[in-house]
Amino acid sequence: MKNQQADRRFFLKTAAMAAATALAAGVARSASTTPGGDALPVLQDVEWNKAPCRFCGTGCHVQVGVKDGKVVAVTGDRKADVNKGLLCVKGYHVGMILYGEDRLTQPQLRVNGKLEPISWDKAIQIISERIQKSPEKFAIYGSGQWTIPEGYVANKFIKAGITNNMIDPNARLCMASAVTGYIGTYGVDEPYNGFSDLDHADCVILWGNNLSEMHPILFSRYMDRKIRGEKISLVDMTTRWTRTSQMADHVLMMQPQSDMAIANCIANQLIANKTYSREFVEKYCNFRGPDGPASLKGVPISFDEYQALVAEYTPEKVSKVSGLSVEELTWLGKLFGNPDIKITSLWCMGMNQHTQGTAINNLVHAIHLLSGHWGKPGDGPQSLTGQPSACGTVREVGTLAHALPGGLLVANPEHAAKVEELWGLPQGRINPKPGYHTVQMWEKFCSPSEEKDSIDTIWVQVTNPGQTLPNLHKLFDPKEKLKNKFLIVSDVYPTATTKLADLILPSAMWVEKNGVFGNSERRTQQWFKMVQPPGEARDDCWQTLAVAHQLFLDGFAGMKKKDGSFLFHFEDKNGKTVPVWDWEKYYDYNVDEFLFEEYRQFTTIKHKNVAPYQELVKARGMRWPVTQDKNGVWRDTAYRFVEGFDPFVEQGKKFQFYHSTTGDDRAMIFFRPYVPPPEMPDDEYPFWLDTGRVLEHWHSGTMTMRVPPLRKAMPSAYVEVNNEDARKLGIRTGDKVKLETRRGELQLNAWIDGRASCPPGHLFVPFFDENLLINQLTLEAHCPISKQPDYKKCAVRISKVG
Amino acid sequence: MKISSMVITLDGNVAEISSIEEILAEISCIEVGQRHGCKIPIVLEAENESNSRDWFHRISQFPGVFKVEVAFVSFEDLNPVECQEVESQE
Repeated sequence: MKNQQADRRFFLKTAAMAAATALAAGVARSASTTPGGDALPVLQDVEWNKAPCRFCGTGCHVQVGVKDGKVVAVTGDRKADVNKGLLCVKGYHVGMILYGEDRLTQPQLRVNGKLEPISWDKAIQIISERIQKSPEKFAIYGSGQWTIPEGYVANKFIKAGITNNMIDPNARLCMASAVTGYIGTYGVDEPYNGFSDLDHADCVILWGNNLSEMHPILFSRYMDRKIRGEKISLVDMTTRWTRTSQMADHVLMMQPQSDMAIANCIANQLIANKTYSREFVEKYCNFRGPDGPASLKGVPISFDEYQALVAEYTPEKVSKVSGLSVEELTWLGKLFGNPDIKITSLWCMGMNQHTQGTAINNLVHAIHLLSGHWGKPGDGPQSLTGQPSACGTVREVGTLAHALPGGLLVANPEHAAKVEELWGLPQGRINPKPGYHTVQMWEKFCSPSEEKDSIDTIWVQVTNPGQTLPNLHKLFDPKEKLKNKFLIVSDVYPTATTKLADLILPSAMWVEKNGVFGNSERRTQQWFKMVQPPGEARDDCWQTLAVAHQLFLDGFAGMKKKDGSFLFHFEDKNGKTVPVWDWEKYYDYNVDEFLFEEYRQFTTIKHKNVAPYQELVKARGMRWPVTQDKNGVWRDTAYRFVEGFDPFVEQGKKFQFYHSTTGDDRAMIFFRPYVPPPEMPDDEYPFWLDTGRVLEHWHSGTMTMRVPPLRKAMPSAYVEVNNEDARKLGIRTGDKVKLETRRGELQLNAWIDGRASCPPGHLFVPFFDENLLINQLTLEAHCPISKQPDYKKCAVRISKVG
Repeated sequence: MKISSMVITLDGNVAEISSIEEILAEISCIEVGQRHGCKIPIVLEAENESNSRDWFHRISQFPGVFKVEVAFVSFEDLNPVECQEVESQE
């Protein structure tokens, strides 16, 4: 036994060293080293298989080692283009997220205030009855952590089955403004480019994005080039000093919301200095101005009108709004006016969680288009996502309240007809009225049942709104006293949301089930189930299918196709019905593959062609559009709309925005005026409050707080206070302080000049801690177009307790 | 016993200085591999997950270390006492 352990230890160490040495040697050669070689650690009795990491939107691939039915090892996947075999500290712990002590393992129903175990059959029956009682008052609240098949099933369940379009995801809270920004500018959602821009850029500009902590592997791609001495610089445009700032060549400390004025200032200088790309603009762009605060597409304006509109954004004027010096603003104008460098702009929550989120997205696209810094490797704008499948499941599958799969819209009759055809529905089944967006959905759930258009039942899947919704006292907490409301929560651990749940369903997670994710750069990634979920935990996908089938059995019309068959009817290759609702037989088939292949039909409609499932099985993700070349080989696309990369661009066009909102293959350069934030510091609430994430914890901490080393490293939330402010207020690190906004108050410990530091008048609080819910204080004000709330700025006051 | 391996990236300014490898080599739970440019592969054998995490952070804070990335992690329990006993017998 001892000798066996010694051998095993030796093998483990040898394998570990081999993995690290191979990476050090490979990465040392070049950041753009072609990934390759299986080179998996050879460990006895350990079976390896690929999966994308469960955490952020980067989509790093890991190899998961399983022994005796348990995940025992994780290694970065050297074949993966995204991470080239490396993992960040969260990826290090990804295997441990399965094994927290308090996993949910059986369905539970709240009876007289207490949770009691019930059977799955009973749980499915309860949901079915609840829906049949008032289908119009039922909603699903989903997630950018849904797998693509899970989101597809939930979307079809609501849009084709319940037909009230009441489905929206938590991704509304994190990237809806990026969606509307892309649609307004290019006529279609999602980045045209990808992470390889980091291997080619001369200058990376971060617009309110703490890349080193939020997307560490992407930051590594930049830093590896920097360390090797390549000429590349980093501009950190930020409202607080972070670890990213420490590595930046230029830190531009701006006032909240002033990014809009800064972007317009750059545009003004490009025109005033005649350094804009006249050729690019004349061939490939149209101009758009606002016709109201909620205008996605804007109104046509001429170049001269655009010039006049941006003219007022002089460096002198914008300096007063932004806090940047005239010299810094002039430098930015010259930077974009230099055609000989390649500029990559990246952003995430700083621009998206913004009451003018669509506008600032449009503006950053605009300055890249205007300057011609667009369409070359390393030269363009890109939004990053925070969840592993915000792009794949939300944006591509269309799990937003107004959307249908493949970038289609419920309100467009042609789109609805196409969907009805593909789903075998009777004509007119798709409801043209969009459902409630997230903030509205929870407002209606927290309103009395008697109110017209209220929502009475919400089924939450793979997310934690009891912690992540803004202004929780308004959007979540009232549920407790509203007796007719029913909250169903499918999750893996107890959360702030399950505290108010009436029915809790235990879910399988990550490699306990089959899955497909879609990352930030249009990369679709597949994995297989590797271990059994604990107890009675089951796939979210199955849960929805089981309820759908129960409704079908009960005669609910929406769960029938026009031929009377079940809405989710699939046949195997022998023509036999696949019982997708039967858990005992669920993994006798690959239900994910049936669902994905049905979904794949939608993706060809707007040139978002995802790869066949079996191609994804072989790959480490493929970036859509994926098409077959003349030899029948499936190829993915690094750059959309660019000739030579995108197979849908016509020969000789060079750049072709083939989903242009003006129908002439042009992108839109928007003018969007600077708009002040809805709430600003004043005498009563004199500080800015910013909220966000930390390196150790992922979003609401449901998974990472169960990993002991991560919990130990960052056990609780804190408030980051500026040193000078702290001195004036008599606050020291560790002191208990009270934060108060117009919506709520919270006591937590102060941290002065800790990991990051705020400028005077600013405070920062992370949101991962379910015992210190900072979202009781945040503002639910949202972008009028994307409906995404602003968690980054509201007015707050701080006082020392005791 | 938790075994993991990492790639240490040295700051470009100190990439030619070898003292970091000497410092690492003196730590009993760390095995240092062959350096490639500014990258050093190491294997860390820690008592438990928390200890492993602590080392990760301590190494990150060493002078001249720019960043530490993960290549491999094993979650298997290998009893450290028994392993040491075997070693001493050998």
